Amino acid sequence: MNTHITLHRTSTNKFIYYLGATLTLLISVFGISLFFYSSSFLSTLLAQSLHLHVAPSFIGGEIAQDFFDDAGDDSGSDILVYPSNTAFKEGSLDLVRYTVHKPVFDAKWQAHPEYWQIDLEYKSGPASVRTIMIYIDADGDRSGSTKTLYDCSMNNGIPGAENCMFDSAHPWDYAIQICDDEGKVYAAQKDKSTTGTPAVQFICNTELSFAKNDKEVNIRIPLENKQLQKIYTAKTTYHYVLTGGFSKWDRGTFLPLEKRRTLSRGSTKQADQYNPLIPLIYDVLDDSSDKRFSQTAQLSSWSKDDFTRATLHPVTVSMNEQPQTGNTDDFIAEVKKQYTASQSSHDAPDAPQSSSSGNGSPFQRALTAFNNGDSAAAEQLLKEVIETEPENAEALAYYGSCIAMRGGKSSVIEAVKLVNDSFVYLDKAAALAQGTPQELTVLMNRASVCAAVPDAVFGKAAAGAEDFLKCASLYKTKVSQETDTNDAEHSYTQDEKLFLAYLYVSAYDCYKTAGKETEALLAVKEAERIWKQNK
Amino acid sequence: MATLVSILLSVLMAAVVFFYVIVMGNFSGAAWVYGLFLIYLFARMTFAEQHNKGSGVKYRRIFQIVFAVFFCISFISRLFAERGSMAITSGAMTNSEIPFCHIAIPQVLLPFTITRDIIFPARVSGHYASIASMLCIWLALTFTIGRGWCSWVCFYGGWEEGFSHIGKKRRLNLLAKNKEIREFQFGFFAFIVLASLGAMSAVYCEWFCPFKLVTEFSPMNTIPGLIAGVIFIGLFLSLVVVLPILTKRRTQCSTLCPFGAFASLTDKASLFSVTIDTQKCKGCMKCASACPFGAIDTDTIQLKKGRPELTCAKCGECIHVCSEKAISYSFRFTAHCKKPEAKNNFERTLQLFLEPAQLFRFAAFSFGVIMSDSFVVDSLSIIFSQITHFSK
Amino acid sequence: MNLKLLLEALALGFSTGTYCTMYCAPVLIPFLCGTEKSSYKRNALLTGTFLGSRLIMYFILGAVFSALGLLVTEFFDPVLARRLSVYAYILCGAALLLNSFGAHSAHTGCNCVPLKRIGNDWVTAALAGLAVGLHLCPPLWTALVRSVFGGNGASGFFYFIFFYIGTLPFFLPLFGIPFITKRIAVVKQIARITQMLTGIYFVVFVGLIPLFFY
Repeated sequence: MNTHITLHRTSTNKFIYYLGATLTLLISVFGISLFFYSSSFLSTLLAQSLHLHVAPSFIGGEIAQDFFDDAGDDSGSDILVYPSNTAFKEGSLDLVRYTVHKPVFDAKWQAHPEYWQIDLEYKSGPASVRTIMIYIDADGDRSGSTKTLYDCSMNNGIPGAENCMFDSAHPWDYAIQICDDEGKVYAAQKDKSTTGTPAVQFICNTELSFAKNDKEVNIRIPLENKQLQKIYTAKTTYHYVLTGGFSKWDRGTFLPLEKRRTLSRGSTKQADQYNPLIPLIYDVLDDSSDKRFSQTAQLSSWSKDDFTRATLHPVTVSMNEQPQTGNTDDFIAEVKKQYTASQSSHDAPDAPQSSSSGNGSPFQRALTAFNNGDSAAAEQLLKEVIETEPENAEALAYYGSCIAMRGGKSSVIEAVKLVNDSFVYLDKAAALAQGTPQELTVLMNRASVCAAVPDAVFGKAAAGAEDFLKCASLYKTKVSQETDTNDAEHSYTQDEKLFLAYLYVSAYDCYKTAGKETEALLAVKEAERIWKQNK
Repeated sequence: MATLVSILLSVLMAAVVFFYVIVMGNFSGAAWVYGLFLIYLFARMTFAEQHNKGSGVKYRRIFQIVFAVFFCISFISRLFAERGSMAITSGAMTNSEIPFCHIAIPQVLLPFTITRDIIFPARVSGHYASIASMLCIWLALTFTIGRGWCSWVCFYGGWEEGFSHIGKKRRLNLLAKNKEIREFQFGFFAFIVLASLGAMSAVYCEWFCPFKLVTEFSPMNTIPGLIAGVIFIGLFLSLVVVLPILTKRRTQCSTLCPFGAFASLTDKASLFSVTIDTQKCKGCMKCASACPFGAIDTDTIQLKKGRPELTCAKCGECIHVCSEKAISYSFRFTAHCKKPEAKNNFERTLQLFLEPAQLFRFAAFSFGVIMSDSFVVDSLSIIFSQITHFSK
Repeated sequence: MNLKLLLEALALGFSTGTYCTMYCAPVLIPFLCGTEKSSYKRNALLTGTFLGSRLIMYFILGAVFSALGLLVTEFFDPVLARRLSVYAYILCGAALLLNSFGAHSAHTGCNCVPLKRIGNDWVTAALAGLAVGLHLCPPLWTALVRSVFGGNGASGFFYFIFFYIGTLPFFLPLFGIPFITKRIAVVKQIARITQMLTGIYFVVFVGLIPLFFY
């Protein structure tokens, strides 16, 4: 009996040992390599499941509110043009995003443990051409000033700088001036003079940092000064955010306008539009939900009859608001679902079709095979087409897509080579198709491949997003030309809206993969705008 | 049969190296050079171990020193490309782009558990030095090689590995103080964890990390910044350069590194351990002298504990010097389930394939290869391009 | 006394959990783990001494603010709070270091009798409690304001007492420390090293450096 038990224990022991050793062998020899192969996926999964985020005090504090300003509205009340100086790149004065954080205290590793951060994002750099003014009503009461910083500090009665006034219901308490790589904070104060003109007091310098090639400006306002500490208890603040051109020697550093556009001066689109009362502001953050306070309405509210300047209205910033989530995800899912359904029912007239003609031609047969999912047959036929027409951009693009699809079914090493090869064809196709009617089809192919391949290996997600956005722009142009309208006037059909929304949503996915949050959000905002058109 | 096993493992490692180094390096010249170097190193180590147990340890040293030096070159050049300096810029801080290294992990875990915030301004994911990717790597190493990370992979430890082998003779013997040194290491670890919780910032990274000298640091444009600079430069010179030369030990790793202490505590979850056959051990104490981590004391041998102390980093130095071959790698689970006697050829062959030492070396070397590939290839490319530039 | 107000006070006390852990854990854990004689009764009494001193400091703060009239609104002054914390760290660090060199003098070899008296465990617990009470977190500030200015003297007093009771659950795990120290002897030695390092860190890195340079 004892011998039997001992033998049983020995064989159990042997089994456990060999099982454990075998598992160890598998983990040591294969497990570690497999882990690293899938590490980017695993780390994303871990980050999402643990809801990893950096302590807000390191990165500006929790976000109180995030605003998106329309892109392409950097023309004041739709009449201004930039100076012809090439330093003023397109979009350098076009504010697209404004983020207000909650004030922070006892922050570690920071130059100032108590600070308040505000972020601005523009369509493009450089920062050196901008003057940014942010006027803040911190308490919602009637104390403060309705004049610009420049007007407050100069008592000679000559107006200048931004050339505007502020809503008397929300006079500002603090002004933040950002220009020439410096940021300064001022407070509006009643002085003791009989004129009652509020004086301004310089409070402190801000910390400034720039990111994304000067597109993003992060402003940190130190809160060591007692006057600024009322921000800690403010429930709602009101912000005027103005962007103008920078000119070191002009009033308030705002670039003036002239009747004619020059290298150093902006002007109006048409000569007869010019008036000295026009605000020198290219972009204002406006409340998109209320047309009365749109940028155009605000900046054209000046009057030459009674010589009054434009009156601006602030956006309301709730300092306790929680960021909204969920709605965007639902919208994206809906767009993708509808697009997939429309593709599978083959009733999507807007999916890029080849502009080549000729039923039964090798290229047409290749296209049919491609659309039917037979990429192997398509690849073979396209190879023949390319041999006879080596400059056929569409054939090259579809061929590149087929090679990439083949890579998706191959072993890892072969896949890397095939995908690299596919981009040789796709890039050549894009170069050949530039400016031609085939460009949309070609870029769609390339964008789809960029979106499909792992970004951690190929780093193509951002390029894919740009291709999708280019496709959207080309499609809008195509539709506008067909109907002889422009984007603002054109009323898209349901299918057109679906296709455009799909392109923007695809760009959103690519930007998210590439870690470009703002670009992703802007893309999805544009998708929502188009989707809601005429609703 | 042992040769066949060595060949098989070398071929498997060559496949790992080919994919991760050469393919991921886009078949560049630098990738080929490093890949071939790694294959050579592993093959030499495997075959050396086959003939003489423990003799492969010098190849581990070579790998770790190479990794440390080239990591430094690559990391610093990437910093210059991103920011233009080794100093942490306000932009990098604001945008939370500080690279997150493994030493920060024990400092952030407790605050994360309590507040759900990571007290380190790094990218969350999508980057080689992001919080999520380092946490994943830490979890993987904890369950595989455990504290073997310190002696086989750590790109900081390679500096001490190199400096501790410069001198031929030991000038300062710390063997008698092993126990106190271990207590100090765990005391310092507990202090760092609690202080990081109290300050809600990574205290070791802020004040005490000597490896800021070879990676990045806060700008020294304020008095506190200057004080921090003096501290980390002083610690690097003393604990990473001078003391390893004098004591022939990895003094920073065995006294100060909080990740080392943390990995010692979590090593219980790893697959491998080191055991001492007390029957074969003659008590010569060569292993204790050779241990760079002070994990073998007089008590360890005299009390016949059968294993090194908690701080063993599985480097294999003790295995190399033991004349009785009493020390060996073993599977962790054999503490409860002994290795059976091989009764026939099949079992003997099977046990050769399942030799813990081979599997541990394979696992640890794979970790090292994959962690090092992009940095070393990057550095070699920089060096080659500089050589080409100057030769023109 | 309004029950709703008392429950609010309890909830407010409970919300300080993170801050309590942050400020007290680095002090209490190494101190209690490293005491000479490890027993449940002594451990509980030392913890009680610490908590009592902390309460005394809160009363002192309440009295001072009430007398100076600094808080006329619920306006949290973070700069003042941070400056007080600096002094708190210096005092706490000094107490821990005196304990390391005094009470544990048998280990460190110091034979200074006055140091043994000042570095006594009970004195250290009291001093550390007073020091930690100087750390003003926002919920504590709110509780002080409401209790000092929120109503008549008695209701304010009870409001603060219930707020303080709300902070106590976070200290309960400390009563189990002797369970560990009795079983793992090396914990005591490691804790003493931790305490000394914490004392140096408090005095130098979060005390004197911010005092002079921030």
